[in-house]
Amino acid sequence: MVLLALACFAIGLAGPVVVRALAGVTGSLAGCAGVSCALPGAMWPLYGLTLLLGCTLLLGLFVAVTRRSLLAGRDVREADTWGCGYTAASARMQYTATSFAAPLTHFFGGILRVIRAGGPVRGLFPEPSQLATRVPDVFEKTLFGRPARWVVARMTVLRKFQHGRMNLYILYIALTLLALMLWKLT
Amino acid sequence: MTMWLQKCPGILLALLLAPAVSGVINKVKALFAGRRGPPVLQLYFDLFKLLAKGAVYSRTTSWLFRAGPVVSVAALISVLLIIPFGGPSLLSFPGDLAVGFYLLAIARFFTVLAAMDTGSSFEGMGASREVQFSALAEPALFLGFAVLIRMTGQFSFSEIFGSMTASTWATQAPALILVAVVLMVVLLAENARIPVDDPNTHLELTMIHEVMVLDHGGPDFALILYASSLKLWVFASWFAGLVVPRGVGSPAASLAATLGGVLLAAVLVGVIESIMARLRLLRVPQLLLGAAALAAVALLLVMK
Amino acid sequence: MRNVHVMDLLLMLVILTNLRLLASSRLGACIWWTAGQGFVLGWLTIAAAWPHPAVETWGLGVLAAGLKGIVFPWLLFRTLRLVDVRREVEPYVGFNVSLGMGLAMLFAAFALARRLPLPAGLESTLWMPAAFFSLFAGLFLIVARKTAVMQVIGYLVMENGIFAFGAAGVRHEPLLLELGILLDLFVAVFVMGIAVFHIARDFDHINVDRLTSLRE
Repeated sequence: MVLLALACFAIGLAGPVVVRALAGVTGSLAGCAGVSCALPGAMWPLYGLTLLLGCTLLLGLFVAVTRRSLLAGRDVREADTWGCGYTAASARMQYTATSFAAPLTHFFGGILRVIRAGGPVRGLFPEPSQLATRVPDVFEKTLFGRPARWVVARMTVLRKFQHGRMNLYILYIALTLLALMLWKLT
Repeated sequence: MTMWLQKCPGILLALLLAPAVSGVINKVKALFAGRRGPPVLQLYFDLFKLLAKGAVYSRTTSWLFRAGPVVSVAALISVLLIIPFGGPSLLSFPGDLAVGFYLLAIARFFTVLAAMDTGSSFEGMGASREVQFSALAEPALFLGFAVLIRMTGQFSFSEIFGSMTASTWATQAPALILVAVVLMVVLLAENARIPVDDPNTHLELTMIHEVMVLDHGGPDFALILYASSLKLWVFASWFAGLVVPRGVGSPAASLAATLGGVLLAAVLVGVIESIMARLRLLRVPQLLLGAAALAAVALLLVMK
Repeated sequence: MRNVHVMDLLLMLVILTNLRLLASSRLGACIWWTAGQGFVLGWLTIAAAWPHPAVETWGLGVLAAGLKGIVFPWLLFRTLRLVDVRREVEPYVGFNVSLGMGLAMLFAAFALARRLPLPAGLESTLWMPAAFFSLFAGLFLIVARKTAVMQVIGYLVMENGIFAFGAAGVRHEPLLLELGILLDLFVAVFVMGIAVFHIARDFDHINVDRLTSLRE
């Protein structure tokens, strides 16, 4: 996985080389050989991009080395998370994915129907309570799910043809060949 | 060779003068409050003090926490390579608009990751709010620049700001005024200024940007402060490039005019911070969507 | 600055005030924005006939600005004080959605204006879209807001849109504009005086979703 990620990164950085190599392939499809014919004006932005990102990487290395050398002779210690002075921090208090996305899911709450399980804490001395929220996939449910279920419901009729009897399957093949022959003759 | 030398002053000015912009803003705020305020060079003193310190790292953090400030500064200095300042930038190619925006997004992403890496709920809260407001500010910024692209027909920062002259303002004033307002609103949102975020607050409930960098200290914090001052410079130079169009004249005059534009942007931010209070957090999305609506109106005007 | 640029700026202000009305949540602010729109329209009437506007045009412009910008807000604020209404707009449609629909209506106004033939002598290309947009925005306000005062404001915005149509041709057809102002005056007094007071006195509030006496 890491290799794939690095490969993506490398392809992005080596844009001009990759595009020029692939232009030979696309050239045969487009009937036009070479990058300057198939993708005119694409090489200069790619060169610029590679140059800029190369500068970014070099700058990053430079700043990292500077920081390392600045901290070399200094007092570098490890302690608990500062978090503005809260000393009883625990792992259960950190921000989870749901809470990270909570402002945006609340903003688009009309579209994403968030499912809540468990309610607010009640009373002066409340018992332990739970809260769980789940955001179902809107597109999967409505955009894909509904037409898919409709199509599947219609297509169950065809299950009748899948019965496993060999002689009827041979009959189907014979009928199809007959139909093709008749269609060819008309 | 002289052409390269001509393109250097912009980035050198940016690297040297960026921390002074927040000093100007604080001075304007102090003037409004009847105080003398901190010196304009205060951020330079803070940076030197921080660079001389050691560091304390949290046991819960990993290499991401140490990489956050480094990536922010590297990404922002790279953005400076493509921003024009009173003249063409050092590097310019069609489409460097998108690269610029995405480099800013990478800087923000790594800051957010470093905040989440500490495992503290305060910093997670700041990260979540920051991401929400940036997600809502992006349409406004993209639509605003879409108006400029449509007006000038160019796809590179240098070309866009280079083709805007005084006659563009004379013929397309309504759309350009709207784009200037949108740029100012996005500047306030992205750089943690009132009315989106108070840079002087000490209450965790109201912080957005300051709370993300609570655990950084010493040279790391110096890098973060420098990166945020560079980001303010980038947005201010966009505003200056729009409001003070490149005219006919020597490169030095053009540079001085754009510097004046950046100063104007700083003074405007100071004035806005002094006369307004911070918006309720539930109102900030409405402000950003209003800015996106203004940009959409400007786009409709330019496309008619 | 040429006259067409001045008119472009003023029509831009009309479009922006409409958008602001759609996204505003305070009744007092809505009334002031409508007043501002009225002032801008009065100024537009005079600017449309520049550089030599006739005396009637001056009169119409000043009358329109005075009526829409001073008299109506005064009447509306007086009504608000007498009826003692809550100064918050209660919407059927939320403000973010209203703003989004406002943008959609603006797009529709531009598209519609492109299809219709332009009357002769119109210099700025923003007249038709701004007028249509005011019409749509006024209709939207009448439909999507609960308080009766907000519906009166929506009606006034619609009237502003119709006025903008008339102001475009003020050099040739000033009669249209005068009729528009008379209609404004008559219907506005009628609506505000009778409807609001009656609703307030009969039902002790001015929310229109309690007007159920016509329901079977």
